[in-house]
Amino acid sequence: MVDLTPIAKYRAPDFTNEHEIGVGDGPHTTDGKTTQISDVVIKAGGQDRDRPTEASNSSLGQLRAKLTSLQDNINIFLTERMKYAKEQDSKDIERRILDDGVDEDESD
Amino acid sequence: MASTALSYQLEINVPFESAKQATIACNTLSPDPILKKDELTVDYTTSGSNLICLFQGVSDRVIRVAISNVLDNLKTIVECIDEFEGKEDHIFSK
Repeated sequence: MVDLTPIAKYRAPDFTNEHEIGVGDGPHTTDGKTTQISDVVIKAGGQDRDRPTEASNSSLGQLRAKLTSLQDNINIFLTERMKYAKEQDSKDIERRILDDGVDEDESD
Repeated sequence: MASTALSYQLEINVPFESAKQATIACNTLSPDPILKKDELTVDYTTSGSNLICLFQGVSDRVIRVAISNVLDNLKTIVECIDEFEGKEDHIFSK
């Protein structure tokens, strides 16, 4: 069986270096953490009718499982990045409001 | 943090068993239209038996949605190749 392992490389203006995202140590399955139906639906007794089939033991079957792991890792990484960006944005707004307040005081 | 340039980039390199499989995946993904080309571009190329998907967008949010959709489609393509490659043609009758 041939080992087929996908890999991703991320670049952004605030990143000086390229960030590599891999599939992780495994075990790899087609059951993704970030691609399932929501917990709310599951708790309400809902079932995922689009649940993927299990990966076969072939190279391509294992590639499909690894792609699911990579998808999870990319989703987690980019969600963290989005949270960070949101925090920075709210800090900027806070700073602007405070700066405006100082300007008003100075003009009085 | 969003900017007008497509400066948020993610490149995925997916190895296949053969160049033919990588080309099939590339040709299957390529026709999918990108709706907001000023906010996102996705380029598919092959290098030997590798499929390379390059996502470039105005923000992390934009590329995250596109990447997850493409990977969902790619997994279906991989499953189809795994299931049908090498099998003989079969005509189903009623």
